[in-house]
Amino acid sequence: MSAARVWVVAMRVLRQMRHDVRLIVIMLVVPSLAMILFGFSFSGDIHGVKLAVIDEDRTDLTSEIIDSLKSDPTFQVTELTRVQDPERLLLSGYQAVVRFPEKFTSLYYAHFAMGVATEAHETLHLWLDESDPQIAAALRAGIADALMDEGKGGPVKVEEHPLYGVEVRFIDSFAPAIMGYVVTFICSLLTLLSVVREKVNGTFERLWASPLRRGEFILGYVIAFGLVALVQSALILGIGKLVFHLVINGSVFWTLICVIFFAVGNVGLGTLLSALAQTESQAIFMFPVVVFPRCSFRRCCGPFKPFQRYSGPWPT
Amino acid sequence: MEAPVEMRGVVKSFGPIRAVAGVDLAVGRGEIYGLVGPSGTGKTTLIRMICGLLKRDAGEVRVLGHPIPEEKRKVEGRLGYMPQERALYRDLSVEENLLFFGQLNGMKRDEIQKRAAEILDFMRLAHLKGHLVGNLSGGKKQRLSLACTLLHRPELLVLDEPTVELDPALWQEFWEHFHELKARGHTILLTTHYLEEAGRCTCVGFMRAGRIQVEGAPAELQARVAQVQGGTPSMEEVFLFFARREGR
Ligand SMILES: Nc1ncnc2c1ncn2[C@@H]1O[C@H](COP(=O)(O)OP(=O)(O)OP(=O)(O)O)[C@@H](O)[C@H]1O
Ligand SMILES: [Mg+2]
Repeated sequence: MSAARVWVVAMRVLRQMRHDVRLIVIMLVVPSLAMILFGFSFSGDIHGVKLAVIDEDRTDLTSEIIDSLKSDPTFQVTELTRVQDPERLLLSGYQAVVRFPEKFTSLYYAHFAMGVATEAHETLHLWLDESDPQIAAALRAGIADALMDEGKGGPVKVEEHPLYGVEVRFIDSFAPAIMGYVVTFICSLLTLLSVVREKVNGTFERLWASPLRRGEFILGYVIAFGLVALVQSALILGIGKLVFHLVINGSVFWTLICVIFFAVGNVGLGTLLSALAQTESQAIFMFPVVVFPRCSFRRCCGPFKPFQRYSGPWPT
Repeated sequence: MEAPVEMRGVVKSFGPIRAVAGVDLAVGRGEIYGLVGPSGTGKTTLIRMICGLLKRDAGEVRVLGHPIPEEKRKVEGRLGYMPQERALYRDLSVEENLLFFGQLNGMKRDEIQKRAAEILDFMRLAHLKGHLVGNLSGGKKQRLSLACTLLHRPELLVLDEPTVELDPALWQEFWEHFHELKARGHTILLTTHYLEEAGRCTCVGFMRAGRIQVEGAPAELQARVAQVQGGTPSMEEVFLFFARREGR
């Protein structure tokens, strides 16, 4: 082992980079961008969860609890005057529904007066979509806080009604993320690399001297990688269902259709980035541009921060 | 009929580098035009402008009667371009490369198969049909690259250093093939570093620093030099003669 030779190799590698201005720019911009995105993603709490409240009891106690919920920035509370089907409400855009049943207040004070002696519990009903564990956790914490605020500490029982009638496990909320990542990698990154390789090998020159149009070229890539993404997503769903008994609600068919659109977008991103990269190393250093936004901005494959947590493009 | 390639006052710069500095060029139908010149004199740049891959800064480029790159669409399919790099898909087989480029140029599958068999035979690649291109030797890749260019029988062939890595026997055959193509009415524009090759063209243009210095049939150029020097000068002597004259 010769220190001098090690140094020579290290210097050569650095010198190679120095000649590639584009690579230097990419190497500086990408990590900064990644840090900014991650910073925005993890800063700030969950806020603005859309919560519908149905108050069938209409007492001072319930309106106090509701006011307390309203003052919590976690929630964006809508009080409904009419009794409605909670599951419908969830499907129509609310992220959770709280219902105070009739006699909630009387049972509350009865319990309070009699302590543990009574079996009759006042119950607050909570409907929620458990498939997003972060929002579910914020909901539970927020409601517990609101009940605590009453200071009397009466043991209110919160009865949960999961939207899909099943308990959602970690894998259930994470499987879509895996699917998203696979499609992202295959479509954006392989497209990016393949196109850059066409440039490096010179096949690009032959293509553009032939009758091929740019649109035809991109569409060809879209179809090829779209098919690959489709097969892979079907595999992930299949294995998830058969081996891990994944909870799947809604239509598998439409899921796969969405995957196709997602794939098309990703191939587009790959070809777009390929226009900026002249060499393979430049392309590889662009990977984070493709990967990081997914971590943060997409709901179904944004395991770090769900889409609903954003009120706008800027952190609050 | 118009000449397949016509250029007038063509200029192309890359930043401060003047790769092509005012070229007038006319390649007639059925000609084999050889662009000869040292490395970096703008041969490839000139050729890429003819194929519509680069846009000239000034001047006029007409290919098969159409201004290029403005009417590039009307020329594609009638032009065969062999880039200086091999420009093949290394992860496809020999056959698959031919199929792809053939189909791009509008050929039918069975037509390609017939033509590919013929052309692979000529290139001595028939036994390598199913091999991956990445595993071929340099010379074989070169032959395949030419095969991909010739496949759709383009009327104008633009070949950038088609013969660099060939062994002498094959080199001989290549030139015979070029003359066969010429006899069938194809036009060939090629570049080369080899002066002996220049003697086989019907017309030679000596390029230097982005300009065509001298141009003419080899015999005609040799005669011009013989007038001054006497004897029967080789193409090398012809080239040196004009290079020196320009130097003064
Ligand atoms: N894309 C480019 N960007 C910048 N400069 C270029 C580019 N292409 C060519 N050049 C420059 O233009 C000049 C002519 O290059 P060109 O490739 O046309 O030479 P050539 O005659 O084909 O050389 P060779 O015989 O070695 O292939 C060179 O100085 C080269 O550095
Ligand atoms: Mg060249």
